[in-house]
Amino acid sequence: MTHVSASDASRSRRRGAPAAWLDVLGLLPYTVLIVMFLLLPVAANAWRAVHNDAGQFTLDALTSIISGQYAGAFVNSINLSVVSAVIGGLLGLVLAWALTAVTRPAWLRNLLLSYSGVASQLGGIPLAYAFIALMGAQGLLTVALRDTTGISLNQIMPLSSFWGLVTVYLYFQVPLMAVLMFPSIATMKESWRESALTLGASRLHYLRTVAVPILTPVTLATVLLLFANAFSAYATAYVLSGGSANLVPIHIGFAISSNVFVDRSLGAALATAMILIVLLVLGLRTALIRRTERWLA
Amino acid sequence: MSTTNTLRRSRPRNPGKLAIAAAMALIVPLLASCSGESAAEPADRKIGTTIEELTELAQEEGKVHLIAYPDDWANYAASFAAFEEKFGVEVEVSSPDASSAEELQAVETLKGQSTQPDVLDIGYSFVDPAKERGLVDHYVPTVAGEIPENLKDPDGYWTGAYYGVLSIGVDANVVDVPETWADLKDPQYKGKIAIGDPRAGASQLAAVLAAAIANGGSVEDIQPGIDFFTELADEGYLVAASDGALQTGEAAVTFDWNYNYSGVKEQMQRSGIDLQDVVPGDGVFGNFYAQPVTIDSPQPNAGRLWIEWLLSDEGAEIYAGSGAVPARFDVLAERGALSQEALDSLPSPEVLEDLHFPTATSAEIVTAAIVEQWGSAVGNKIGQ
Repeated sequence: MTHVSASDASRSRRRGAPAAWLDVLGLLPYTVLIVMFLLLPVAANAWRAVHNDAGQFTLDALTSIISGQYAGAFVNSINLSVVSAVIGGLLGLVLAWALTAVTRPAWLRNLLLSYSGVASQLGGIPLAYAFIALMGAQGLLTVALRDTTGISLNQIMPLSSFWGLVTVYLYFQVPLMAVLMFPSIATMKESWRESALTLGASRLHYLRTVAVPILTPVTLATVLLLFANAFSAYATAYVLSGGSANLVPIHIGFAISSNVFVDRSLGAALATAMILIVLLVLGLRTALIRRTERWLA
Repeated sequence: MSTTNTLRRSRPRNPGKLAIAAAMALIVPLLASCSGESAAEPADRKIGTTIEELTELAQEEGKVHLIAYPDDWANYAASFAAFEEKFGVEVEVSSPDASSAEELQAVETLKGQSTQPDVLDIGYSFVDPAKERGLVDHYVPTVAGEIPENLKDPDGYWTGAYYGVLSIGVDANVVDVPETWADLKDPQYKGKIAIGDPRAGASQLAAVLAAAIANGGSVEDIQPGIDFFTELADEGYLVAASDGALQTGEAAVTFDWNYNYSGVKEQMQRSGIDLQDVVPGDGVFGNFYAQPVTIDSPQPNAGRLWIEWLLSDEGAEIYAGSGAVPARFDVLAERGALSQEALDSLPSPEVLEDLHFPTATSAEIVTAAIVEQWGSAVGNKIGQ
């Protein structure tokens, strides 16, 4: 007995050593990727934010973005992201709940899930032009409404306005919320509900004391992800507004890829501030997720 | 030929590109520091001093590598073909729609590599940054003596081979063709005027400057132009419009260089747009693009030959065909070197007489004012 277990142990040690080493090796490509395309760029960006073109240290760029139009751009970007994340989060949550609750017909659910997966990733220029074709000055819906009712949709809510941008952003925010929340809602154990009902709880009671508390952290965490998603969006807003929307990514675009001026330090300073905000949001998200994992692992 | 070209370079056609540009901007300094001395040029690098020598050496190099030269900008497609035909040197163009800022970034990024572009085509506000960042090489073309002072660098780092005049392009099926900036305040233009963002587009900035000149400003005083557009924005004349706003019917009035309207007329006609372009009589503003050779470029002779070509009689004729005024226009006109067809495409002598041109210091003053003020005074009001 002892003999056998000793040889077992040594064999597993022999097998274990190279395996651990291989694990580290397997991590290498990912590490290289992260260092090259995340950590180094972030570091270079932070460096550029506090240096001018001649390489001298200066806080000019950073101080210029905390007031005036750049401060306004941060407020606008945050407003747009919060509003589209909250509305998108609510609608997406309802959609996710419906997807788990409605099991028949099965094809409808599969269709909606697949569609949500695709729509959640549709953004940028194609999405902007799709909405221009629908709701722009000469869009199909705009013209149809104008001809039938005399209402000018593009004057009530121009696509380049705040609520126009929110509407377009919801196109990807709602399905993204649904796709991300669907697994969490689906893993709510049927036995919890049955136990609660058996012990005399009403459905509302179950919802209030079990389902909502368990799902709240992950829901908030997902809304934060939606915030980050909208916060960094650039091309959609650029195309819809012709560059006139006062949003941070658009100002970064002006600073580094204009035909009129170039101010790399300003672009880097704006980007650094965006990175800090997103880090804050993602940190909050991580903390929230940890609270849910206990139940929905 | 794409349909969205009227506003090319006034807005990036593909803003997604920004992400790549941003990533490059970030990674480049790091990679550059890794690559060490690889950029050092061989001591025996031979550069011709006459056209004949340049031609011979350029043929050995085999190609010239350009960046940000769109096919339908100022007749460039015809220029490429004629250059290849005449010298047997291939023309290679990277990122035809890149912005001037991206051109400078590309040189900085690719410096010392075989993919570094040889010659740029940058807006006038980028010639000083290009020099300061050490991205361009000294080269005085053989015909430099015939180029007006304001189209060449006193230190010999760049020449501008052509310039254009800011024009108003309208769909004459929808609105009357305006003759002045003041005409645009007619109610028929309400909700029909699209101006791209002058913080991003050189031609759109030129529109604001031309309006400034029409309203008592100057090439250094853009304020009256900003005020003019503020008034248009406040009264609902301006629309937020995507590229190709004329074709989609989102707008009926646009602004661009005269030489960019000529190339798209036929195509507009097929889309049912009667494109008419006019230089507004009360504010005539013109501007050049400069073509410097890059520092230690991989094909130094082909690059210099390309610059010589753009400035030559034949290169000038091709520019003129699109309406772009060649730098040596006065000399060529005097000699009768331009064809009648080319002369007909150019803005009239009366227009050119009124032309306001940027000065060495105006770019900085004007861009600072526009970056500071445009957003709150005009931009943020468009399409709200």
